[in-house]
Amino acid sequence: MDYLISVATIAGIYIIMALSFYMPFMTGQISLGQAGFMAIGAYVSAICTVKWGIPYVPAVLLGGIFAGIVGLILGLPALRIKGIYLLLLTLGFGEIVRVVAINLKYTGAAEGFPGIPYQKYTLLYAYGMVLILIIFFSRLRRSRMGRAFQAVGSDEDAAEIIGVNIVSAKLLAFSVGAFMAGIGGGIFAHYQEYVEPLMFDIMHAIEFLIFTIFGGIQIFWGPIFGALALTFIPEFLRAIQEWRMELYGALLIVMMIIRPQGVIGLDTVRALDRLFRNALGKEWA
Amino acid sequence: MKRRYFVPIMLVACFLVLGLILASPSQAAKLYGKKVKIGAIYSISGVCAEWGMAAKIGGDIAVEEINAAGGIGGVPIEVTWYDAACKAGPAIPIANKLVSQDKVLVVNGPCQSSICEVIFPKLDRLKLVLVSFCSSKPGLSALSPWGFRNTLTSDKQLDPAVRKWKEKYNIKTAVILYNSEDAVSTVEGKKILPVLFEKYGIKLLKMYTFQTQTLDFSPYMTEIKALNPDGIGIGSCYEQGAKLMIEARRQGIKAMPIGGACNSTPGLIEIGGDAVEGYYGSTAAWIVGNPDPRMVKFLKEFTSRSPGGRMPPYSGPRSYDNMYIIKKIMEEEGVTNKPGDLQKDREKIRKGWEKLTNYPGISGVTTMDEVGDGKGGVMTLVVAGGEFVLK
Repeated sequence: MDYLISVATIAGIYIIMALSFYMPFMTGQISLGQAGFMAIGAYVSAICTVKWGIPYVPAVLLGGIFAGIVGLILGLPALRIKGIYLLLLTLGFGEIVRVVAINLKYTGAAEGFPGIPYQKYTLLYAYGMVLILIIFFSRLRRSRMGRAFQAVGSDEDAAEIIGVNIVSAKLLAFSVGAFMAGIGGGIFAHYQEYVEPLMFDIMHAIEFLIFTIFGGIQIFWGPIFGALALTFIPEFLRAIQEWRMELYGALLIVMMIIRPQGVIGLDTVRALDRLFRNALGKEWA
Repeated sequence: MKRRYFVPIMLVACFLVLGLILASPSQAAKLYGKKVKIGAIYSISGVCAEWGMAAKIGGDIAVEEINAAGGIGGVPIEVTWYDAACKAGPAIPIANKLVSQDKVLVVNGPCQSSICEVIFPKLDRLKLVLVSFCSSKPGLSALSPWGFRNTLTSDKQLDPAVRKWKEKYNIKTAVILYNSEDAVSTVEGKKILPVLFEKYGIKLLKMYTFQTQTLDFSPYMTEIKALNPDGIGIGSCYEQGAKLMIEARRQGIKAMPIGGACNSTPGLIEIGGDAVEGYYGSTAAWIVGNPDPRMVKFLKEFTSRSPGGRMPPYSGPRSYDNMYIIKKIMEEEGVTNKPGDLQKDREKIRKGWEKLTNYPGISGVTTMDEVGDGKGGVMTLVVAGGEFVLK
């Protein structure tokens, strides 16, 4: 049971991270800097609890807010560029954060930051945050701002013509995504009890991207499914040891051939919705 | 008369012998069950895969030998192992799985200090002994009484090496290069070597940092050549240690190198060749060139299993020793292996590791210090004639 709880906890943190990637992605911004924002959240919240004695919840929130502010600042130059150039910019940002962490003596530099108090209810906090994000994204989908995000993501020029404020939409999406990543980092730090710069390298940023692409980019349920599936599948494959990651890689390739839009698409949600309504209808009839 | 006393005397003698057998320690006591479950965390993928693979092969050899000789208390060992991929993240679910699902008695591993940093603070809750076979960052075993390391921390290893290196080459000035991305390398390069240089009167001219991805050391060496130091202190693993020495020799720098445990492995000579001749280093196991017949036998078996017949870093023999120490502790501490005694057995194993003294392994003599780190048996190696020689 403890094992399943620990895997579920990590999956919960990864769901937050996948959604943090999905948030700017809605406006067409692909960010490889989410691991950097996660690191900011992790370190800031750890400083708050270890050095300043601030309780867990405000410390994690402060980590998220700080990451969000950095995201807002980084979002300004990011407005001018898109596509592969934005990828490079955010990649560079992630590396800057990591190198700063490597050299920052206050947080233990490359040796890492030990002694972070353990939060035994991490599972509840992680899934509590996931629930908040699910409510947030479901409301966002139907809101004016959400439609503006989708419009910017589909065609920036067309969105501008119809009067969408692209600057505020992109900046907001970028900084809210950074805030989510910061929260994820804070929860992660207090579950691990130790953080070091290597935990936030580029591979992790790519992992969050894979969760989203694999799960589906059309709707927020995609990243949630991707993070859950890709955290649990390698654990279930542990029995085959050496061949585990090969099978994992093969699964990704097969999925991308069969369903390039990801496992969960709008069609999946609609089909499930119909199924659910029919079932309810029959039941209530 | 003699006949009258013969039968009672023999009866008394028989009772005495029987009493002695019954009162002797539970060394030969048979364990309950069909398998003795031991866990292992070997990172056979990721950046430290070579160390994890060596540990797996070393552990497997020991388990096969033990099982062939009758197992532990007559019961064969069954190892449940997992790949942590040199990352701290997967190590937490793995440790939880070993405790709650696999119900192992003790765990051999993990290797990396960063994984120990994450798991050791949780051991007070998990109540399971983990014994690392290569983590050398100082201070980690103190995080929990359940965390042990059958290795020597970098500070213990490097002191005699620096002293002998200074004496041999009359080192007066030196520079330090270290990998700032790796925790152990940073500790060695930033904290341990500068203190030891000061202790032995060596003037530190300059410190340089590089990253794990650094391949070109020519800019560093161009500057170091102008400084003309007597020695080069290296805080990194062997791949980069060898490469930076190749560049140093290519530029005509004659400074003699010294490095820590991760650098002092057979791979240093394989890559570095003549460039690392005269290198001084510390280690937690003397491997190549060690005449101990047990080590010779181990290496013969190891190289028959390792990819390309490669020699192991010290995680191989240390992991091998770990399995034999676990066997010794289980037999001496009276582990029953009954499912109902699982937690009591784990506690007995913890106490056994705590008081482990002078275990004569193939890696050297192992004694646990007060926090659960190996002590004693510090070895200094020097590269001479293309192989490591004990100094």
